[in-house]
Amino acid sequence: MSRRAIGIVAGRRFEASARVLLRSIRAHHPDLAVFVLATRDVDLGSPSSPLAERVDFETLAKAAGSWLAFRYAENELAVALKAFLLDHLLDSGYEQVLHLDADILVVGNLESLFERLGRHSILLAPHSLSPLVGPEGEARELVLLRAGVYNGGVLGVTRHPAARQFLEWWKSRLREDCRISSAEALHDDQRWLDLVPGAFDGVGVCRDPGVNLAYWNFRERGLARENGVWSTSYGPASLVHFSGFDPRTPGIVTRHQPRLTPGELGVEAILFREYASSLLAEGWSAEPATPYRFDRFDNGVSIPDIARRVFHELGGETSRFGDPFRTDRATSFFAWLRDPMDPSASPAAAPARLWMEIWRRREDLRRAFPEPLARDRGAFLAWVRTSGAAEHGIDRAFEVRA
Amino acid sequence: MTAASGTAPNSHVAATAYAGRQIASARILGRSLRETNPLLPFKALATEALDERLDEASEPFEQVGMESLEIPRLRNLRFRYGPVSLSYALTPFLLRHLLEGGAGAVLFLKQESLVVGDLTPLFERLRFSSILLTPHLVAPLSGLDASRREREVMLAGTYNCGVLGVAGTSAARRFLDWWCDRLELGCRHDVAAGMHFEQRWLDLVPAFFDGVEIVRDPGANVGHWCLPERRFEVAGAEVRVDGEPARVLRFSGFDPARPDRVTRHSDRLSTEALGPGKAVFEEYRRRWVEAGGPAPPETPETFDNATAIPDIVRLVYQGLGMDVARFGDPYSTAHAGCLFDWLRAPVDEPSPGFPHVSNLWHGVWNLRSDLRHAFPEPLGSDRSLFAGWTLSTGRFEHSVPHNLAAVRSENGA
Repeated sequence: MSRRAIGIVAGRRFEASARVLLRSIRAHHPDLAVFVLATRDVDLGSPSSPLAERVDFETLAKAAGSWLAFRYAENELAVALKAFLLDHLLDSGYEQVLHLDADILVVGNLESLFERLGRHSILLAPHSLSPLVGPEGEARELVLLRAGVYNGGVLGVTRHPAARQFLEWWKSRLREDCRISSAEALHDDQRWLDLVPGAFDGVGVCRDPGVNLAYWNFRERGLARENGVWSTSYGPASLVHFSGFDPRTPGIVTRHQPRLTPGELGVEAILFREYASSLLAEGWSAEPATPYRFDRFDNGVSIPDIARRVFHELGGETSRFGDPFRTDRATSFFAWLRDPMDPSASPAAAPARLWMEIWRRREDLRRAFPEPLARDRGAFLAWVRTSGAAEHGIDRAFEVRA
Repeated sequence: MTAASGTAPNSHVAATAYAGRQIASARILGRSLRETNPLLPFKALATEALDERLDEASEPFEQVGMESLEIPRLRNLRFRYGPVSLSYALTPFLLRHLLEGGAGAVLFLKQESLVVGDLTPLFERLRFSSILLTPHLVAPLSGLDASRREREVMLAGTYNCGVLGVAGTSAARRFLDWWCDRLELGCRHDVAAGMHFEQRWLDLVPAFFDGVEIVRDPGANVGHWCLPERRFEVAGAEVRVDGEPARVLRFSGFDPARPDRVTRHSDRLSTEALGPGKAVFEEYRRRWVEAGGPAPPETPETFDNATAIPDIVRLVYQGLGMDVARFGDPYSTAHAGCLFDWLRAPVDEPSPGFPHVSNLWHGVWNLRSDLRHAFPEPLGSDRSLFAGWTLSTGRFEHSVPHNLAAVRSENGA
């Protein structure tokens, strides 16, 4: 077995991105082992010579335990499973495994990156390699301090015991806390990486300016193209990250900074134009052609995001429900969400628990309906029917108890 | 000053910064350094005038005057932060000053520390690196509250500012220049914004600068954040942590008047739970008593008209950023357009019969989400209620002196 592999996770809307990335890897490394963990059935080219091998999403999600597939919505789950994929690939015998986000493009040879990885247990790629300049430098650095110094899009691990310890720890943190809340030091999987250089042996910080070029560092790197070869002011370029780019709005570099246009960037504009057309050529679509396996309860009712959140927050208390996808028992999570919240009222006239959870989380609702189980009940239920269900995309099954 | 001389032991320097009220801590630290590293010069920067409290001839440190750091806008920094936070904000200024003065390598130690071992190994590392950082955690935590405690560390910063080294290299100087620049306005406690005084900025350092070494030696910097996980062994004066010689022990938040608690920052830890480590806290308390015990009550800093400066005024001043240049010297109350007058000036002209709201109280409203909630329109329909709150409650909550709490109307009344 060859020693090196790349692992890619493709969530919703990243199917085409993953194919663009895979083709770019193949252009530079035709023989490298590449694995894709996709939340939906993604076309990986001809079965006889696929662009990558598939890692079964359902198997890995279930093996991760803690009902992660229920706790997290599709793309959150994709992020949380990154650590599980890396661990799985090390288990499969690879000695160096590089994770790349699906919205990355390989523009140069990765040999030096793998060589660098080989000298460490874990390789982290910082968002930026020097203090940020200009009048907004300090504010941009604070953004990094909230989101994480290291980017979760490019990350390497090796068969070093410290990497295994790191992955065990990261998996355990991602089972519980893979979301965004800067006041709680959370930014999906990424903010956890800040602790890694202090807490584990052999961690390398990849300070190669050719790696992970993106909107947050274009200004400092000086990207250029000569004879079709991309480089920075410091040397060859290898990985460009199109974080937050949407080919439907090619005039916006990233949804994270909607005012930044490719025109302001310079030569990067060419790269964005080419990338957008590659995505469209690969069939990019806002609406995926294939369904998501963990979208619904087993009775076909769509699982609202808020239900996932409530389940997550209940923590250990959820064990009494058993499988949260199942709906055939009176003790199911589904039934619990539909419980009418006011036993004195007839069930049809009482809001279900799910709606009270929504009320509890929305200040505007608490203001508009201060007493949703008493004098504001009628008005609140009317809001549920006329606006709430559509606003939250919630099935009528939660409106009233049958 | 060139990097090459950084290896000579006589160019090694230890340094700290302290507010006047913390002089006992600085003395304890200085004495412990003399016992364990007798040849190492120790410089201490005080951020308050010490008057009769300081006896330079007998202090276990060499005093560095704030003025000698030649900090532009020092009076604004002093006003912005107050003496304690200022001692944090001046850390890079002090280190830069010492490197410029000829030190080959400087180890910064926060004032509430006890040095119990040889610091040479840390200086040795600075022969080959430019910046030494000590992480709070050298291993992940375990147990039920592990994730929460790790996230507390992440909010405060991966690296602890209590033990930090710099060599006389260009990379270290670039780091210090950048850090000085960020701390002019960014030495505040606003964790949701990504700020935790001077410390959080250090998270960026391994990414931004060359020659950064992360010291994962469990004895290099031991404090409440990594206890009780790191195990103490104490044999007389010799302290080991996780089997390694302890070098710097940290007493951040330890109140010698409450010696059963490790730190006021968390109630999860009793000194009893530290096993042999309890002796270390007892020893620190003994030294604290020897160094004079509790500090005398602090006289608050004042404007030049003797009006005390409440903390809330510093926060309002912080919120103004660099815009404060227009006020000139923030302490001065005599000149036209001074900060003192601005704080008391009405933010607008209300309709007849309605009360004025001053810039100070409008600034307080901006800072406090509870007030924004309770008085959504402090200059509109909630004006009378809000103005009433400032007089009946606000000025007591924030200890705002009467002459600062009142609105100075246009006719000077």
